[in-house]
Amino acid sequence: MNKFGLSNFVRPSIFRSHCLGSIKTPTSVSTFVRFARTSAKKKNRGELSASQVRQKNLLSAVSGARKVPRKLDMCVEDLIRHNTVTRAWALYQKEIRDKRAQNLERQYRMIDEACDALKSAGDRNLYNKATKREFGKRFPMELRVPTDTPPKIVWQYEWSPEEKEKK
Amino acid sequence: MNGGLIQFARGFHATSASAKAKISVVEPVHHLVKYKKWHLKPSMAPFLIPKNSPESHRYRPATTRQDRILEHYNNTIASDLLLITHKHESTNKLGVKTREWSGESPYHINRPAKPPRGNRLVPTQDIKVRTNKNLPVIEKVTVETYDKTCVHAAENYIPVKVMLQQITSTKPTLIYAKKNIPTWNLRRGMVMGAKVELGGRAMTDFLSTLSLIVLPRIKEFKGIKNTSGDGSGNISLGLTAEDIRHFPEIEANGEVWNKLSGCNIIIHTSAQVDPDARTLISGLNLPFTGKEKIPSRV
Repeated sequence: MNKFGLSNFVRPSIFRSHCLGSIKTPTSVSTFVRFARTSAKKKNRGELSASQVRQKNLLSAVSGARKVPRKLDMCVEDLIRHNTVTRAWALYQKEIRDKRAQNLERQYRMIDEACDALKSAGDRNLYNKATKREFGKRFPMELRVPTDTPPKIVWQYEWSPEEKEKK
Repeated sequence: MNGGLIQFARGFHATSASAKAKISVVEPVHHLVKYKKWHLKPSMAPFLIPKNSPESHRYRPATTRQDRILEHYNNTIASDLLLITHKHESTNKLGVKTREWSGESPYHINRPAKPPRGNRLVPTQDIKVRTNKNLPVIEKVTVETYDKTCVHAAENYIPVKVMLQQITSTKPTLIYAKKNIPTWNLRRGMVMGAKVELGGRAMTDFLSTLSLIVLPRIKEFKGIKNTSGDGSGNISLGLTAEDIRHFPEIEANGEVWNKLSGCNIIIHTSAQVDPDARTLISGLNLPFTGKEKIPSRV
């Protein structure tokens, strides 16, 4: 509503930007200006229902403004130090990555060589059985993702899933 | 012009490409990078700072702690997958593709290509030889939630969005209807729900929460269905609103959440076929149940 209150000029977009979902906004004003203004103000004065208050609180939880951390205040020396450490870390990671890739490549080559050797050995039946692709392979559920605090007995060698089902 | 020697197919227009006397073969090298002049203002300089520099306001430290699942993949799963998926002397298997017209008739110009052979409309991907270079990895995880009540009360997207942010610690984006569906009172542009695309640490954190805390506490859960999968290595599972209560972030103040909704979780992998993707995902303590159907092209 126009804060000078003398004309019936209304900008509804201002109200829409402030309201949530199903709050009613004044979209038209009668010709009797003063009366219309007071009635509209009464309706809209900061009174939200309980559900609307909940929605407002929820929206504040996902709003972007609070998630942006403050920019780090670093002097030039700090910045140089940071860049040096970052570059060294990236280099270290690249070495690890390259070594891992090398290992996998070597493993692949060795698998291929073993299969070639088996084929050239002449036993076709043995070769077919050894190189047959097995489908439906699953990693065992007992294989856990390692943690910093592993259990005292890491692997129970005597345990087998069949025994568990019998019990 | 030596127009009399040209024996090409007759074009419909006098200015067809074959009849042109000469064409420019020099590519323009100027203005390869498009820019606007106001980009060069001194006040725009802060936006030129790369995101990984601490001087940028968008900087966030990336490697702050160990990534257990990634290390487990690199140390254990990758080499096993290489052995499991290996097939000696295999060759690339070409998928069925759309068939172009030969071009011998002038009527072939601009004619749409024929659909692939067989009873299918969509071309299938090639399956390349499995090597150490294309081992399947988990690329990203999408968590999406649709809420029917958003049709009648658009503000109902808010609790959905907050719930997704709580369980994934990533800011969700809204999902909008792409077309009108009159039977659901849905019109184009209406909000239908929210989704999150997770990658990196957020993804592995979510997967470990799912496999260690949430799924073991669901009584009816036997495993991900072996029939799940879209044919190109993406496996999905669904959680109901009751299942979501097992997430520690929701359970911590469960009485606050008076209305929760279920979600779909899609695990996108780089595997070329679904069986490979299932083998990979089973390495993260996510069990599978049911009978697995092996596709003809694997």
